[in-house]
Amino acid sequence: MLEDKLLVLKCKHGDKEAMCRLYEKYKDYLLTLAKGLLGEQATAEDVVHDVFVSFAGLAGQFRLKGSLRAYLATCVSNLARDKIRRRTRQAQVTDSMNPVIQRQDNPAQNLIESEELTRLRQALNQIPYEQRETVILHLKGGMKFREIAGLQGVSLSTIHGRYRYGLDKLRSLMNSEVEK
Amino acid sequence: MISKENVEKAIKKKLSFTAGTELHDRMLNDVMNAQEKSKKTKSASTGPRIGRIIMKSSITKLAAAAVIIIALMLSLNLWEKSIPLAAAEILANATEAVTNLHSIHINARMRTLPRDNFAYISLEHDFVPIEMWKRTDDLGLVQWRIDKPGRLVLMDGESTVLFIRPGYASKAGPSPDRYWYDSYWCGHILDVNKLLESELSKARLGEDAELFTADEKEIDGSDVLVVEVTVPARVDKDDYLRNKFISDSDHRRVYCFDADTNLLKSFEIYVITEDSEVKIFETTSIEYNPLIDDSIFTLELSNDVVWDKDPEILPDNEKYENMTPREAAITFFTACAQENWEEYLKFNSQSHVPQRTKDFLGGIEVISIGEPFQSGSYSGWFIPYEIKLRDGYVKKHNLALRNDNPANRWQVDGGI
Repeated sequence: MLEDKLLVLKCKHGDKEAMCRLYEKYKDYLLTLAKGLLGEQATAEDVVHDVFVSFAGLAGQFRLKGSLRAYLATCVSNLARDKIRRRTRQAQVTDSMNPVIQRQDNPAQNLIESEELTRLRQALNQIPYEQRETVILHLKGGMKFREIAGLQGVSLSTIHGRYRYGLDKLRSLMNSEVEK
Repeated sequence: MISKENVEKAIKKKLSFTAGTELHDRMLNDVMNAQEKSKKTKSASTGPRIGRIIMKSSITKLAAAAVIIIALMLSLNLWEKSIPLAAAEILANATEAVTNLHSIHINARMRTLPRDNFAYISLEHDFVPIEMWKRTDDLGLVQWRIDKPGRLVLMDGESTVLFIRPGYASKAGPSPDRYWYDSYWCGHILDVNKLLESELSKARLGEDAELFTADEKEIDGSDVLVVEVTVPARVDKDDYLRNKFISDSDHRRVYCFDADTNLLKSFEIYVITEDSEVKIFETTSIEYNPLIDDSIFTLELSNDVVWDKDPEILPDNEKYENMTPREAAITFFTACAQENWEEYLKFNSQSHVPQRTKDFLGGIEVISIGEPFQSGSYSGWFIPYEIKLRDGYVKKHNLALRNDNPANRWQVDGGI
């Protein structure tokens, strides 16, 4: 936490090395979150790119109040939600199927990934976005339920429910894949 | 069948992606460009007062000129390097503003316990008010007083008395500049010139461990200059003393100075935790050179006050000297259990044992005594214990014992 605080302060005063260190520290973490939320590599990369560029652009006026990790995760989550909404609207215009389910994985990539990971990614893409966001932000983002509730603007009990239902659905989707 | 726990485990452990080289290079490049652009905008909009401060004194002008030359040579940004310079200049001006200080009166509040020592902090507790006074007369007589609801420390010019309300006292001294009984932290603030000088010398050194920033703001319609110092904790994250004292916590000190008079207007400290920042201390008013009534530096104590004494060498001193911290803790609690107050006094050098102590500790049942441990820079030992009081309440805490006294006997230093 203090390390981040010092790095942010240095960034505020234009320290390039500090910005590099923050970028190195969080890029893979944010990419994992974005990929988990969006399911699609290229859009996930765009989101992380935009979050970092916007952070760097505002670094001069930025004031870190809580944890930088949670702040960046929230930025990724907000942008990811925008992308999903946009994607849904586009899909409605082109009268296509559910855009999230429609997204098929790159077969070459699937070969590299373990079978379980592929199943997990496919299952994640099929559960409602709010549940996916709750599960990913909690398990991968390390965010507390309280923080996620604040981010989604819902009560803590709703978040507990979304997490539970999300996991149940993931489990049943993954099990049905195994049975096939 | 995949269980819910396995799904959680798979997300935690298997779901991870890394940026490829091409993506990494592209993103980093864009991030650096964005930062560069932001720096240009910020440099153009930087407040005029800080700029004036940097350029005001001839020494600073020379330093700034040197920085410009070096910055040009190394293609560095001037703003980046001028921040500690600005902080140092603000601190230098503020130090100068309190040169002729002969008295000070500060009201503050701190998250602590009313009866605990003046240096102890606790993130979970509410604010406790603290009032402080200090004056030096024309003949050089120094008097000061630090007061909170549960205890006060008074230096009347001859000796320092600690009074823990309602009836425990201790005397030390005579050195008037030494802040006895863990009142050093408040003492630092009373000696505002020394406090600012110390920050100034660190800002000038520009050590990375303590990071300085300077800013200007408008608060309640007046301009203030703000210097912030971010300081890492002296102890590890999992240390027992972590966040129990200011210097044992990652913290940020915020000094606000009146832009016209350069006097310290307010002082705040925030403890930085994993999740957030917690304001742990703040001044609510600072009066410079006020007239202080003599009664502030006088303390009348009743005759039944329990006085703390220096441990004397006893005929059987060797027995206590040779004890391990754990043996000392066992002997101490056994004395309480058996209501052997003579033995109790071997570990608490006091004039007598007050009735409230007898009522509280007498007849306890010792449930367990754990393994002693040390923490931070504290020279004593902490011994985990669990006791059952006479009223049935089970108390679990760490007894603090230290033997760095002339008799080398273990003395209870806290944790009851």
